[in-house]
Amino acid sequence: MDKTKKRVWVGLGLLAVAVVSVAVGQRSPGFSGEAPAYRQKGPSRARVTITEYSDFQCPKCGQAVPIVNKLLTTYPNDVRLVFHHAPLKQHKWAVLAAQAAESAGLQDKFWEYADHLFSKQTEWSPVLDPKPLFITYAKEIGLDVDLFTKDLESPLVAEKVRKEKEQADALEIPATPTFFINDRMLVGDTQLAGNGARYIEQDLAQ
Amino acid sequence: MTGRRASFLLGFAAPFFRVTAGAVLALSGYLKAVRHPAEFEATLASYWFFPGVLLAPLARIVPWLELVVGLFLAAGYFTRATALAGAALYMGFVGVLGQAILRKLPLKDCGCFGQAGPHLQPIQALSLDVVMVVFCLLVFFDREKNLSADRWIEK
Repeated sequence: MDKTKKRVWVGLGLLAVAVVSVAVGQRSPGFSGEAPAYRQKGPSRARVTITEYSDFQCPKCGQAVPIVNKLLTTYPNDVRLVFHHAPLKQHKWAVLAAQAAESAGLQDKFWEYADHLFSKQTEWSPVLDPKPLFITYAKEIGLDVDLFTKDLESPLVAEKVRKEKEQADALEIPATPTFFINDRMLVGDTQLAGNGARYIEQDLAQ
Repeated sequence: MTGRRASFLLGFAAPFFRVTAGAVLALSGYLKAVRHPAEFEATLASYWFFPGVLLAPLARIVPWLELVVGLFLAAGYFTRATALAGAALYMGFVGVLGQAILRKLPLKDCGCFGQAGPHLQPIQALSLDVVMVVFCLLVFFDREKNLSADRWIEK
């Protein structure tokens, strides 16, 4: 074999190694649309589903709230939001906050409570024990406080959040907030603000 | 040490430098290329260095560039050219990491190896990249090309 042929074959071989190895190893985080009804917003038959993986103690997740809400109000008949807990281990109170939001969800006030947690994030994040604050917030949005407190301490609620966290870990959600618009992933509030509406428009046009 | 002796020693050590620099580059590219590009795009955005319009194209192109240049370099294919390309890539990373460190950006992980790979602090990644630049330059100046695809092709 002459040198040129050898060179071409080696080059093609190396490129093939690159392409095949990436094709075999390629993995995009999947997502699940399954969530309790109280963690879903918008029409159930919407053509576009935004699946959100979020952490109540993450500042970027709070910054994403108005962006998500704007998308929901812009496309009231076509977009549905499904919320999943993805509490990060570096956020000390993220799991407890998720449990509090779940407890509010059991009284059908998940979204009001979630908004409260995000808007008061700087208040409860640094304290030594945020539980009293969580109970105060429950009172502020008109929840049955005794029931809320009981649910907040319930092993069933804790188990539900633990399973959600396990699911998020298994999906290798890269950061919070992570969104899927139907099957297209967006990481962070900036990507959602930049591409969210465009992806929705594209999916609606299909 | 005479120039001839240094060149002789470099001939022996160069394959190690070449494979190491190539493998690190190929691995970092591979680990990002197999993931969704949105992840690396978010990593690039966290450096506050690139214009927004470039983030998506860079997130798609850079991992493949790293993977191909890394594989070519490790195999010793177009060794001098890929050593230069590898050095340029590593110097680019040094620049981006350096500005992030100087600006004290709150980066917990450099994101060099994607979500699944080793999580290096920016200063650790910078040190690794500086060493890799030196390795690439040594490979560039090596004339022997021992244990390389180029050597086999030229036979």
